Amino acid sequence: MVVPSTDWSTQQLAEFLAAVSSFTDEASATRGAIERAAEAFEAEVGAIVRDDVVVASVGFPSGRVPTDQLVGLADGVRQNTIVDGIGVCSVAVVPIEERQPARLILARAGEGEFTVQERNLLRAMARVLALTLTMLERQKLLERLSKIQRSISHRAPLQEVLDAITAGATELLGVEVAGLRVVDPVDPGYSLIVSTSGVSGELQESIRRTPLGEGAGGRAILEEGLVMIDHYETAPDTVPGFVANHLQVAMAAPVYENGVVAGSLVVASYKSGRRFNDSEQEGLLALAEHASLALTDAKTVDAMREAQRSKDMFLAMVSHELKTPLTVIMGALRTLQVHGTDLPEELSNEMLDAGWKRGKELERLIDRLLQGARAELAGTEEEVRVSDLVTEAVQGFEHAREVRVKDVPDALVRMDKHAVLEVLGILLENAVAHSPGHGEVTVDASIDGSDLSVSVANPGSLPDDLDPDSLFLPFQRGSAVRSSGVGLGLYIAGRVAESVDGKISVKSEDGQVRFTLRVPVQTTAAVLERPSLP
Amino acid sequence: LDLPRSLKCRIGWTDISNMDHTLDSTLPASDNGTRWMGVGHSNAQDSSTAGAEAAKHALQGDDPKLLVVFCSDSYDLQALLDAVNSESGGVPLIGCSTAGEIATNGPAQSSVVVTAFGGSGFSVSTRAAMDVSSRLRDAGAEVAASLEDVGDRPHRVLMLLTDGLAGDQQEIVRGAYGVVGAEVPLVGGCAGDDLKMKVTRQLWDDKVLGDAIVAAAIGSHAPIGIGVRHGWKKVGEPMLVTKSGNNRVYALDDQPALDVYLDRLDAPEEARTDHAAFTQFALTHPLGLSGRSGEPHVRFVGEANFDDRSLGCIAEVPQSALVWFMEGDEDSVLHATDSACAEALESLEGKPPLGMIAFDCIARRGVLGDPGIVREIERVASHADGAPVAGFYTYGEIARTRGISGFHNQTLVVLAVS
Repeated sequence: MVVPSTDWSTQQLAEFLAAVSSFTDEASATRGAIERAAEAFEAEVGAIVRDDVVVASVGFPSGRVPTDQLVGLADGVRQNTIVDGIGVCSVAVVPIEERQPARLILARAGEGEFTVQERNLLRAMARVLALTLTMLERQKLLERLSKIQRSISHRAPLQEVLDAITAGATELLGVEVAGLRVVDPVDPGYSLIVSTSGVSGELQESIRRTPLGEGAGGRAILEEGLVMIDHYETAPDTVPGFVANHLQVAMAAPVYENGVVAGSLVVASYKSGRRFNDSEQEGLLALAEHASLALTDAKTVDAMREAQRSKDMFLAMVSHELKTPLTVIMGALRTLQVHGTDLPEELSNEMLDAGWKRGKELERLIDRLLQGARAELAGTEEEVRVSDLVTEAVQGFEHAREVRVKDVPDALVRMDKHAVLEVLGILLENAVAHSPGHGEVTVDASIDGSDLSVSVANPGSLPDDLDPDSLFLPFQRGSAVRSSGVGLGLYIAGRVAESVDGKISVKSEDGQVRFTLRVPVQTTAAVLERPSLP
Repeated sequence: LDLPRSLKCRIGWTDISNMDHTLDSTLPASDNGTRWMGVGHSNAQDSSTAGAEAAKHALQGDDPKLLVVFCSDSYDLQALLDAVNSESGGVPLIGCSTAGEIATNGPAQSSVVVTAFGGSGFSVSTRAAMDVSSRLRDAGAEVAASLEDVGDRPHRVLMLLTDGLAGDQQEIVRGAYGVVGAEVPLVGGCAGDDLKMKVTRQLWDDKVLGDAIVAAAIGSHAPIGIGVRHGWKKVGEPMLVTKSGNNRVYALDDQPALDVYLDRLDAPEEARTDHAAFTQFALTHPLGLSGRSGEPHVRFVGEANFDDRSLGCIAEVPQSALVWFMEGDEDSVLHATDSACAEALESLEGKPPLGMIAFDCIARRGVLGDPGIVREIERVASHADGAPVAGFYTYGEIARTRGISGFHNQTLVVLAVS
């Protein structure tokens, strides 16, 4: 058996470490640390002071924390002080982090000074607290970032993603104000605010459009780097609207779009004495990186919409379709690269998993694009039995959903089998994605003259005001969709159907949504058996 | 000004039917208003009778401000409380069930003791917090807010009576300390249930509560003193707490805590299988934690889980801490009684006490035995020097005067009021 150390300091530090590391949020860790330290040293009062602000304290009646006295103690080298209600106390002050202004202060009734051993122990406790806080901060940052990543990859509207970033910035950095600026497309000498958190309507109007060199946000765009403004009210080149509101401190990081600076993410506070430490700067840069990802991704969607009627369509489509999963993969890899060992196992697994899934999606997209291209280019016809065609099409979907095949003629026809299979695959995928609960997907087929019709139906309905043709435009998605696609499936299906002179129609009736592919075929044999109609 | 000591008297009260009833009270003292304390005790079997008798005998002065009731949980507590209130006409009240009661004439069981604070020299405010086990810290802060209502008296104290079976009692003390700060001492104890360790009760005005904290903030123009001592000593080699949480110790030196505890203390056979026998054994075998100075902190082992082999305590035993077995004998424990009383009286700045309240750990009774606790209360009474004494046997004691730790086990806490 290892004999445990009975040394008082070692023992106290071990207990302190066990207690402080068990806290799950910064506020309780901070308060808990002061309490445990005060308990260990039999001190009556304790506080943490940072930038002239008392971050937390114990031992003072609620609402009566002597801020000025504590701030004075944090700065000085005094060995004792008089605490209201206690009398003369000896004082110990230690830094919490190297090169940071935060201080842990304890005061103990009586004039017996803190010994060198006690001061050393307190210093070690402060280090434990600093490490714990760094870990908790990083964990919170990562959780917030992965939430933002998810909303980007799930294609939440751009405004929603940007608002999540500014809201995340206020929460993570504990500031009252955050905003995202982008360069004004009309006059690149100005920037416009596109998302804010904690800014009143009136103030919003006064800061909406500002020159690039003005304020932390404008300067971060111009200087392409992190900008911090302390003493905001008296600093040069600030935003008048904020000065009028007595803003105290601001920090901004540039936001990029396709590698070119396009705006900035700004955080600010009205609290006097507030400063941003290293990990807060790091946090803002990470959030700005995510804003860059969101902007870049969204601009590709815009480009896509613009290109809808142009020859660039295919290229844009490919680049967009490929970029969606790529954004997620790159984001996950970057996070793992930067924060790898700090990540909780659960989170890193989640990221790896998301990356892998998006990789598979990418693989499937590439296959489909190649197939689509082949179908369009090759157009080779072959003889095929309709029932075999349908059986082949539904293969692989039975696992996902109950797929029922009914009323399929056992006829032999000549047609472009790959094109038809491609279309049916998309229609089936669409049906599975849009049928709620465990609704059954049904497939039936018929031959009418020289046309083959194959229908895929799922329970559900289309909105009354929906123009059915619009479903075949790119980037159209239903509201209750479970697939992670972006709304290109039916567009591709329509294009492929057109390439073989076919047409897809859609009907919503009797609680079913039915997509029907009608395609001309050559009948090579008589219908052997026609199922009896009900 | 205080009346000369000779003018103070202790009024003995006897009853032909029951010699165990006593009444103690002191005449008003007066600096900035009168102050008086009275203690009534009854061991009548009927709940209403007991409540009425004890209250009547405590209420010996004008302008009663607060009643503090300690009683056995063998009573119908609602009936007892209703009788007290009807006697007092609804004077603010806090109280709790006990593991034995203390009155000037000695310790008792299955009885009730009522302490009254009265006179314009006192200002009092009471609070209760319910459903506290899931929010001990907040609940502690909640009741501590009662201090706001006692005005700017130069001497103040917050008395807390808690449910010791509701979780880590230190959290309650931390919560209360966060509100009142270092300026105001905390005092009190955890309610008992005659060592059944099942359910304890807290009393507030006309309500019988469980899983609750009741508190009284007392403001006075004269000093209030608190003394704290236990008299236990560490013995043998320390053990490392390798796993603990939620007031339970799971492993000592990486071994199941219960097995280490039973084996190293060479516990009797019945304590290894029977819950009541274990609790009885554990009363005199607490764990000790090292402090920076003064007496080591004691942790009362209340019960054991024979399935997961863990020990249940009334307060947190921190993981990674070193713990010792503790030893106490009649001498050391009685010596602590004297020291606690002396410490409490010392803070009265030379003024004689109006009364004293003892929060005495039930485990001390395990060491002293029944004759020993009679001697102990005799000593407390002799320190009170004619002033009435009240109190109860607790599952944990609260006293914070120095530092920020305020929860104790196996300890005698004495409150002296001048």
